[in-house]
Amino acid sequence: MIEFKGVSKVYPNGTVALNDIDLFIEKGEFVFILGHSGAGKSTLLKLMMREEKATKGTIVVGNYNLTKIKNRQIPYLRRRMGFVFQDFRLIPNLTAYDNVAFAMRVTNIPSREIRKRVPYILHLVGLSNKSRVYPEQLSGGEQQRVALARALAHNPPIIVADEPTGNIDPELSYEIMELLSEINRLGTTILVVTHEQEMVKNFHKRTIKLEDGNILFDTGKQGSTT
Amino acid sequence: MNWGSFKYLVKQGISNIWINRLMSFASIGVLSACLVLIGGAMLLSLNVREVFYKVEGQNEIRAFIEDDVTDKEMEELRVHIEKMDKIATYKFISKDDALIEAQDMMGVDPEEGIFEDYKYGNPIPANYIITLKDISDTQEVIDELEALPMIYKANALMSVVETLTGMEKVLLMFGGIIVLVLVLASLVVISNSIRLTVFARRREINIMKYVGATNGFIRLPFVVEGVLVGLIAAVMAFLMLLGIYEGINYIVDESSVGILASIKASSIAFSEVWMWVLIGFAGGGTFIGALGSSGAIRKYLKV
Repeated sequence: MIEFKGVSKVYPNGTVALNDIDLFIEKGEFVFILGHSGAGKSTLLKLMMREEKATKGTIVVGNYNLTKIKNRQIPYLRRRMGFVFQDFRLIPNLTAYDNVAFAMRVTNIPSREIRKRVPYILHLVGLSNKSRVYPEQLSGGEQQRVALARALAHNPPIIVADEPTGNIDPELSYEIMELLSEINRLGTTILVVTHEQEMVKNFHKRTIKLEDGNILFDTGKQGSTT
Repeated sequence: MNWGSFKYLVKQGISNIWINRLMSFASIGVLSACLVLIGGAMLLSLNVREVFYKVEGQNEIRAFIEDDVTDKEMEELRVHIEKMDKIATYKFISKDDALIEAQDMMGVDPEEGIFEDYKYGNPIPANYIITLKDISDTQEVIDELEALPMIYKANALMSVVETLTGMEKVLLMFGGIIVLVLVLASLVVISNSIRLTVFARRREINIMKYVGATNGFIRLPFVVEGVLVGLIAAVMAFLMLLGIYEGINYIVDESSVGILASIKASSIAFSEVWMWVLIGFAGGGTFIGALGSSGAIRKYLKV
């Protein structure tokens, strides 16, 4: 599903963000990418969504070989993934419903399907009763659930969450992680990037730890924490 | 792209104009002012050309023929003039006709006028009235004619010729520069105005990029915005120009000054050109709007 083979990324200023990384994530896995800031987590994600190009090595996501992908194919690659960000990135002047619908609309999904799917997704993340509410009236946890709903809207096989609980109260963080586990049980591959060691410990999922651009350890599929 | 998305994007473009109404208003103002100036300059130049052609038509070369040319030489001269390709028309005036013409011009009675004194010989030479295809060739044709032995003098109102050709050149050059500067100014203003919309919507654009919207999709509302600004400016410019043109015509009509009346006589009616003006404005506005907007968004598509 996701494969990194001998991948290095060196930024133009000389910073080595990733150093000869090998990584394989199977379909349906739930993986934590753990590491301090500067360990190379963000670079890993940027390479996956092809915001950046690898300096060396090959990356494959689904059917796309990112070393060979053409610029005009990038939007289609991104439709195979759902992104959740630390800062939610919701549009403030759109309701929860419209934030989710917006993501579907801009990828050419017919209105009829949008009207059917958005309520279902909002139900899935437990926000059915808040669909007409604007982001600023929602708590951090609720906003992140809207963002998650948006990531799920076009039914991607992969969800990538970048510090999804970074801006949320600890007790609500668990709700979000539970929700991600639930989505994983339904068959979606999940990648969660985090620096919260505690969270990782409590969930007993495969964990890959990055440090200074190298993989420090990888617990392997469905492994326990070390 | 399906019809629903297209409708959605066009709606977005229209609402962009409203959300960003102050800048939209400014762009429409600047662009329509530019279009009015461009259109005005073109109409002015068309009118000047029209007057120009009238004068050009009247502007003729007179080639006076020596009194002692033989019939054979006369025929040679005719053949020579016939062959000169810069000449549009020519007309022979015999000595007798030339005399009558001169008398007419002075308003004297042939029976008792000043020409009575010349009953022993007609002093007016036979001549050719020559008009040219291009007025700027005047001097060249005069030189060629005067080189012929049968001609003792050829002349034209050179000052008129020089003024007119000079005026046309200056008009074309300045008109061109002004139009170029105005087009660039409109481009900058529209592009900046749309850049503001893009900036206000950068968060949405960013999200669109991450959820996999294509660049064309992201660009379309802004192009719609630019094109719409262009079209609104075109219609406004058209109405303004119509008002100005008719206003000037009205003033000229009312005026009793002779020269204005003669200009009026050779001016082009707005009803003859309105369609070209409107098409030109709409095309120009659309083009400038679309170009300005696609320039404005380029930077934000690189994510």
